[in-house]
Amino acid sequence: MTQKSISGRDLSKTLTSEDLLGKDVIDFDGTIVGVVEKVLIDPKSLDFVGISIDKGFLKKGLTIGRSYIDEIKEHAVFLKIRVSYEFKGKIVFDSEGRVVGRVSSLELYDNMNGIVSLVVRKGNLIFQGKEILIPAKYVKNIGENVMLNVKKEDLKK
Amino acid sequence: MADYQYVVRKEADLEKTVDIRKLIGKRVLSEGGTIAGYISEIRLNKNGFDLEGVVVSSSFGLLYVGKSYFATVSDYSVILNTELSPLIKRKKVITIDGKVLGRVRQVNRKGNTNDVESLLVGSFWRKYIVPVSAVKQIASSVLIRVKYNDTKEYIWKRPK
Repeated sequence: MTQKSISGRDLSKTLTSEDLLGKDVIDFDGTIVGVVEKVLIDPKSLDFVGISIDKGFLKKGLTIGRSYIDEIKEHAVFLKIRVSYEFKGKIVFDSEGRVVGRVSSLELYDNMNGIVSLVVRKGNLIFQGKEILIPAKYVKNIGENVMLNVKKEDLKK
Repeated sequence: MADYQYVVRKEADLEKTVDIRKLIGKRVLSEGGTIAGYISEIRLNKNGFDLEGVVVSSSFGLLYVGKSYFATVSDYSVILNTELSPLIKRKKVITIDGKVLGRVRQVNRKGNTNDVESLLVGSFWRKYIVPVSAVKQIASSVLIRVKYNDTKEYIWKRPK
């Protein structure tokens, strides 16, 4: 049975919240960040402002703004970015391949995805050492782990 | 440090060289920081004594990586200028519409180079051959730019 419409426009190609909820969220790198838990709408303008992601059992959720969403496809929501929070736990190597530590937290530009600095904890998962702050300018590449463009000794200065 | 007497013509200074014995057992890192494995052998050219490559002991078996893929050699590691294609194996493959097609079962390369020619992707039921032209990006997963429903190879039809 066809539904009556009083919107004044063709709404057949629009998405519903049902289409979004439960879909995988995949970042620019191909990492499945989580699943869409909520669709966020501005109460005044009624615009779609973003999505809330469920990252799984015992993990904190994540809210992603609309500007970071690339495409909404049949099976997943694709992001334009790599979520900086996902860098937590990665191993940090200096320019000579020595382990500096693991990313324990990040300083981001106010609620955005841009990294100001990485907080790196020395030691391993059991025997944790002190933390050092590594500015984003020393980061050469982030893939499976973090590669720096400076030597370990130069970080202490 | 010991005081060396130099007997060289035009060779590099000692400080600019690396003691290859120290490199055995050291890690090999890809461009993005993936630990490819640990150096088990260092191979020199029989004629010119130049370094030709290293044998890396990885979770995918032994890999002989040529020096053209080296970015940095230090006393602590070898850092590559690429991501090693044999390490793509077992990564998830995601289609353009976000469907997880399966995992990479086999990486078909152009000869012995690091260039990928095609990927054999296997899910529980089916196997697919994905040519490199259909691959959008290889990072933590493999993203492909097509909805995959062609060139199916079934489990009972072994790939060539």
